[in-house]
Amino acid sequence: MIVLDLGGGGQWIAPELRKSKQLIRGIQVETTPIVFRSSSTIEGHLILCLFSRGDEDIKKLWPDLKHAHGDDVLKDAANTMFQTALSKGMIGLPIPHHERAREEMIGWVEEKVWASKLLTLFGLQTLKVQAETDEQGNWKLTKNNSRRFFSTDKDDFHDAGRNAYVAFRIWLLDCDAGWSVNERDAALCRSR
Amino acid sequence: MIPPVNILISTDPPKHLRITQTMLEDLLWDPVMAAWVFFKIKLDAFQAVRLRIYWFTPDVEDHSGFTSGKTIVDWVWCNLSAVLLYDCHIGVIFQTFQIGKDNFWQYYKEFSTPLFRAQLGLMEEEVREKSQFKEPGCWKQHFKNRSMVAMPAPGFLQEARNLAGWRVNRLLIDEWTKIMMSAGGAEGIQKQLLGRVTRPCYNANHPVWCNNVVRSATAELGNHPGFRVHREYEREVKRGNPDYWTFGFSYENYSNLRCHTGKTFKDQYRDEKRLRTLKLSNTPEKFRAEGLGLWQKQSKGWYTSEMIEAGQALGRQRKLEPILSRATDPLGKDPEVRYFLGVDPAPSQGQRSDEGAIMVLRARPAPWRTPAISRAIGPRTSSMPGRSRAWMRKPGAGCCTKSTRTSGFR
Repeated sequence: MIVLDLGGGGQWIAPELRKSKQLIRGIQVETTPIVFRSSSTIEGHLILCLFSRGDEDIKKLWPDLKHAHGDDVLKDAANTMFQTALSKGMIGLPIPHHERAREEMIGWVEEKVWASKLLTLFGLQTLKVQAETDEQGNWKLTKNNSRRFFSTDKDDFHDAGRNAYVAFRIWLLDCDAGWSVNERDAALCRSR
Repeated sequence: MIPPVNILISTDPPKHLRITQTMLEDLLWDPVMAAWVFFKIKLDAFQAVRLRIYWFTPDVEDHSGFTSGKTIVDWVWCNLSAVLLYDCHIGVIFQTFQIGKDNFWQYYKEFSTPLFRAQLGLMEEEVREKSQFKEPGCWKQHFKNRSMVAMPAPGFLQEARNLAGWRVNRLLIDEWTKIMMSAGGAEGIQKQLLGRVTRPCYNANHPVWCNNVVRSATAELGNHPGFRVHREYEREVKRGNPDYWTFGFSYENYSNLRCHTGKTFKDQYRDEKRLRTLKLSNTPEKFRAEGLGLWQKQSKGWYTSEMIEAGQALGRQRKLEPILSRATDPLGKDPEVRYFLGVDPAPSQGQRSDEGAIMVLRARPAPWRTPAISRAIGPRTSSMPGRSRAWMRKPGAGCCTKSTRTSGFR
């Protein structure tokens, strides 16, 4: 399951994923298209969702969103859900990179070392996500009664992590839908 | 009080120290070179940018953090304006008169070159009888081209009423956010000071010849009354209005260029130990504001460090490692394991902009869910809440990441 954020060009990535030929590491490879779960026109993996209040799966996860007038409501709901998951210890994270013993990393490929560093960065970025308050410390709300989130640093990894958890929760609603991805299609994260 | 002394000052600089027409034409468009020519000050790259912004923008808010070299550039800007622009009156306002004397006026002694000295006229310091202002006075540096740098005692407690008849071409307000917080300070800036920058100038629509205002102060927290002003500046800058600019440097913004001592600017001016002490003795919000020069909205952290540490403790307990693909994941062959991809795409446009990120969450059934328990729970159906709860309670999770930032993942 993939949850793709609309902002930053998500709307242009989705059509690319529908293609049956992809350039992977400079080689043209035949792949099974990745399409929206609601799509019925193209044969492919029906595993794509958009992080948008108009998406069918998102609406299933938060039925109240059909009354929402802005994406700020979705952001509030998703951040709240992610916060609950983290506070209840439902998500395990690898230990920070600087705490990892050097011997432990012997034999790791470069990508894995970077992944470890970036997961540490995820923790740091997450801590910098803030919700605006007024002078009394009460939440400042948007006109749609949602909290105003911002980050004092970059928040790309936080958003990606939160979207991954949203994907998990969408899948959990319907976890027996049969689908699988071919081994050869799992090329994006393949290590050297 | 120093008794008045009759000093004869020639009205023109000596011939070899005059500013020629070609010098004027060159230096007016390159204030950084002018700073070198008149004061022999070699500015760092960041300070050079600051001076150019001051020089070419009519209304500037500088919210840089401490030790980022604001005051010296302020002094250079004021005096270059006085030297290069004919009959230009510059007002300098400090939080207190004494701070102005100690921090600003001392540079007249420090950066005195023959060329600059030749342009100077009378300096009225303690000669208060000559000042048009009453106690506590006004220090003035006159120039031979009829320009003047004046540093009056602000008298903010009286809402700067004593400055009511004052007219200047350029105004520097140092630590304006702190002045706003003092009794009557906000009123003093809004009602009196900003209305003083109305002296006739050569061309009100020209970026250099027009009247200018520079406000400089470290940033503050979002509940500060100056935050509204800062947001207005930001809004104008976003609109593309060339008359406004707001920017902030921090103590980190020193380059590896060589300064006058032969060391790099970074080595010379960046005192990491002192700044670490300041970091430890201030709250993170306060340090971001005053140290890094970032205006802070009033806010609360949405996640706590305990949450992240709990996740890492869980990872430590389960010996989680980053995974790169299903093929290299030890649990990759398990048909029960699922991978969830979260994508936050973003074109990487600059150093400060967000970058694209992909994170994978791995979920697996709880380790205690043996085949016997599975049989007891029953077959896998989507309407089976028991199964969903089992996943919910123990979704063993690992992650792999992909960032457009790292070359290894491109």
